[in-house]
Amino acid sequence: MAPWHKAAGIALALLALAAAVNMLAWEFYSDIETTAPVHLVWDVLNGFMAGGILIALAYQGREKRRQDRAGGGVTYAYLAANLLLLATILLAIWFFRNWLAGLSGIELVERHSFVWQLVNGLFVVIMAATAGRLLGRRQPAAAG
Amino acid sequence: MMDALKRVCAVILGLCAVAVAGHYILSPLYTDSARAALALGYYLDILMAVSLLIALAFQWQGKRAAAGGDGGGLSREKLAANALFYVTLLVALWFFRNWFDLLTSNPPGSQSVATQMVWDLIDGLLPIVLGITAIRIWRGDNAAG
Repeated sequence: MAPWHKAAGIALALLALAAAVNMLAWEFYSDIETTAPVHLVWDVLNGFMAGGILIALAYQGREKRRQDRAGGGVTYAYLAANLLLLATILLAIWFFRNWLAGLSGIELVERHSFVWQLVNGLFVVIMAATAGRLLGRRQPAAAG
Repeated sequence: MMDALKRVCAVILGLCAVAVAGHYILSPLYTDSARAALALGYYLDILMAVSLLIALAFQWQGKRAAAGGDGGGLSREKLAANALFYVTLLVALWFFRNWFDLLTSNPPGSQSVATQMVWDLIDGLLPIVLGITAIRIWRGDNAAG
């Protein structure tokens, strides 16, 4: 396993865990009356999430090309490489739009909250799956 | 002649995919000029409608071509052609419903929260299906017609 694979895999796994924990815990601590800027947690996490999405896109783009070059039939590795890449592109479009809206100071309306729900759920699943692949648990063979 | 026409269609679809993704992601940066954003959205909707119809035509042709390929077996080409066609069909149904709702809205531009949420689904999925279709047409893949 290449060292950068291991480092990126661990980073994505930690990001998935952090996003999952904060997504669930947020419902409990966001309503507590406090002067602490609780929104900072998401603000900081979003910066790392952006980096995680870009790493995942780079890795999955490479995996998809590898599967395309290998040819052959419809295999688990072929399906996984394509589905993960397409899901991550969708995640990136939704995430960066909502993130920019937040950074621009646009008021959070119901529509944004709906997209954040989609983003957070998708992010955890995609990052965990990509981390698993990077760490070699489900490293796809060249032809499936 | 046909190849040139296919290339032109591929360029239109590719440009539409980039324009929709770009407008969707970057629109929070120019919400101050709401009228400009609304006008841009108006023309983008027309481009999206035309692009979706072009994409569906090519994908239907590709789906039929892939179906006759290898009997009852499942090849990569068949899977890709079918998945692309049905996802695009779903996006097209959502899009045209939302677009007609927008065109008939009163006051203009006012839509329900549910409809706005469906726009988020459309704006995320449309660049992907049009982008893939554009690449397949440009490369002359069998399943893209």
